[in-house]
Amino acid sequence: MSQAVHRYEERAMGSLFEVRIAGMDELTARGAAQAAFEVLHRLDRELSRFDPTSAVSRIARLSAGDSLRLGPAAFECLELALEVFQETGGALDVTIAPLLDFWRQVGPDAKVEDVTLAGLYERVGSELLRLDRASRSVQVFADHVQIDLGALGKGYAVDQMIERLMAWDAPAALVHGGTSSMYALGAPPGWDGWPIELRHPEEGRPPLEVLILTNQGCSGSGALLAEPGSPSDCHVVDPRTGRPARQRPASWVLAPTAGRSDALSTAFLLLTVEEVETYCQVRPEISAVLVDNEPGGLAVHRIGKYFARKD
Amino acid sequence: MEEKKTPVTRRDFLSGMVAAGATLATARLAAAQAVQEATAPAVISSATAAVNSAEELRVAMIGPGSQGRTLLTNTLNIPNVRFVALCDIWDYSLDYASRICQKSDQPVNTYHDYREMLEKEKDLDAVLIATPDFLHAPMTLDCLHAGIHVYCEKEMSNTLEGCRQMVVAARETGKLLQIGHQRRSNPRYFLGEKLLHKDKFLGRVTHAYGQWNRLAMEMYGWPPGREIPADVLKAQGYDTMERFRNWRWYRQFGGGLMADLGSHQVDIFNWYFQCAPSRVTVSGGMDVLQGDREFPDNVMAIYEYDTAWGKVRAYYQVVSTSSFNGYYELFLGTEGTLMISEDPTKGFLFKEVSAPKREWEDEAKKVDSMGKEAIALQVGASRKQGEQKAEAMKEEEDANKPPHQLHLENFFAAVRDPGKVKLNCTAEAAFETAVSVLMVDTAFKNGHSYAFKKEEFKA
Repeated sequence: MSQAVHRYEERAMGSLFEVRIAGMDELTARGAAQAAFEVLHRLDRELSRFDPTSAVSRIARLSAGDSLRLGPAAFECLELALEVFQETGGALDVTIAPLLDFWRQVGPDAKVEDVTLAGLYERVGSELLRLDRASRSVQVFADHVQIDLGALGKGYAVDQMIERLMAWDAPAALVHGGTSSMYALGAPPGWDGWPIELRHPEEGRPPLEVLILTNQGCSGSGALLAEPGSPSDCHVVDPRTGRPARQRPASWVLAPTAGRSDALSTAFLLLTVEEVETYCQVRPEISAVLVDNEPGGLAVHRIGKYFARKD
Repeated sequence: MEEKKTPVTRRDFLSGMVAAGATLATARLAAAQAVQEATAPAVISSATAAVNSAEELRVAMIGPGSQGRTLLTNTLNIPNVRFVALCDIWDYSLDYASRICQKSDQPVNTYHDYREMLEKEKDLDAVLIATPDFLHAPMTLDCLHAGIHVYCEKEMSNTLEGCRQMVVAARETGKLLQIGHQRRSNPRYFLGEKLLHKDKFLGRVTHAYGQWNRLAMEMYGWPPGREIPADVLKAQGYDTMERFRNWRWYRQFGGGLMADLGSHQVDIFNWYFQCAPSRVTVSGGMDVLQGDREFPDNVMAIYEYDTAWGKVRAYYQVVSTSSFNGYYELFLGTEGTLMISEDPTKGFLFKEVSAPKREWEDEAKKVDSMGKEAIALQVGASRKQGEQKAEAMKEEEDANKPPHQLHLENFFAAVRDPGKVKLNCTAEAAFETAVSVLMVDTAFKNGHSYAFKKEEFKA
């Protein structure tokens, strides 16, 4: 069996997606990657805010009270988003777009009255969405609720690509979207898992941590990990307050799927260390690395079973 | 990836701790609840009524491969349609598609042999067929004769005889046969037709241009160990697994690029010109791609039409080795040009300076087209304020549904109420298009030109 790691790249969802496959001959690996990218491009159309025919664009055109039947991808993404919204007290909210737009316009230091924000909240808040399993539909409770699945959509796509690679019997594969959402399947020959470096938030420093991952999703969020060109100032508006928040420089999450690790790494930018610890106790399949700016310098918190095992 | 989750007893175990912004959060929660209370009862009762009045259609699919999965996921967006069975000779496709159905709570029975499926699945309302072209005719015929309505992918068949049999079977059985030229159900294309014929925006239409350019694709492989057993392949007509996966390149199974891609757009030429072509002149060849493929990797075809406007010449190219500008169609006339595409980002009207001014022009959204101002092609945009508003909004929303969903919705609506809803792409209409594209292969063998006979377009 070949020892080589085959690498393939394609662009979608505003990111460069990469598929690495080990333990397979090149011709088969190429076929498997092709099947994975086919799924990626289909999901890009189904979940994109920029395609007027996508499920999220169609939801944005609904009026209060309307329902829309959803295909499996959009339904599963919203199901996950609403679950994490509830679990984290609203720290992840996929309906936050109008607030982001607002703060981008006025600037993060503008004095804004609560009443102004309350007006924006008429269209913001995941309570405005209700999923109905029986009819596989979403109902909205306000006009024109905008949904931006953001990283969660990328993570979901990574999971679906991995599912395809498994259907092709790929023994070991790493799939990532723009390096911020990934899933590690199996282990390359001679390794216990796929080595993943967590980049130090300060330029030029050695990696913060090297994780060895197998059959696990991993995602990172934070200003320093943001894609180049993203509006960094207002990148984080706390959905719980409607105001720009001082986020921690970085958070990484390990989870059974890349979709969930993506949803949580966004939420964990805003939760306190204690809240994340509680979360990881209740959900032992989740581990996290949080980086905080503290008076003495950067503090790194390694939380959850993955790190307990190592120590 | 499926999640295996630890059961959480207190789902909202963090919300108590995360109290920041409590006033706002409470306020919006209250507001959302008010809306829920106000709207929920009405919505639920109307939804229940809908389920009762519109009985669920029971549907099966033969051939849930790549194109089949597109039809499958689009169908899953449509209420009151349920997949009950899938059939494919390849387990990989069967597993893949049944997983997708399962995710939408539609468990399906799976079959390798469609005849067995038709025998065992007694209450099918409709079958969707997305197998390779050479199987369309025998499968469609068997379904129609079993009394089941059919949605069949284009090309109808890779042979004219197959196409003809399908038209005849639909006529004789009285069952519905919709062919998958999905642009025929797209409100943007309805608007294009109206602009040409009713509004006469282009004046005298003189030319058309259409293209589908795409990047070279490698031959398809398959996961090792998941080959179809040799006897099953043979029984279906394939020598090898390689042929099964790459059937589109071989005459025995498919119709080449003109049938795979060109057919969608030549179909629009025929629809918009309200007639079939009188002649086609072709060039192209297997110039770049390697291997023993039988069909050209690029085709250029010039069609001539004798329309009510007079002579119209339509150039069409399909290039499978370069992707620039993808797919779209242009219609040129003495007063303007229409660009239209299934890709909703490509659509505009360009007006010649000498053309008369339309009353809605000033208000219409403008776009830049190669340095010149053009009018964006928008469904519902020319409608006056307040005029049939609900209908206009429905039309706009329809224009923004996934393209295959619209064509499937038209089919299922016709299945429910054939007296009221007409199919947007009948076997007869698709037959004209099939003749127009399949004869390109004959033109290649015939000194690169072919003069169509009028009677050829009648099945």
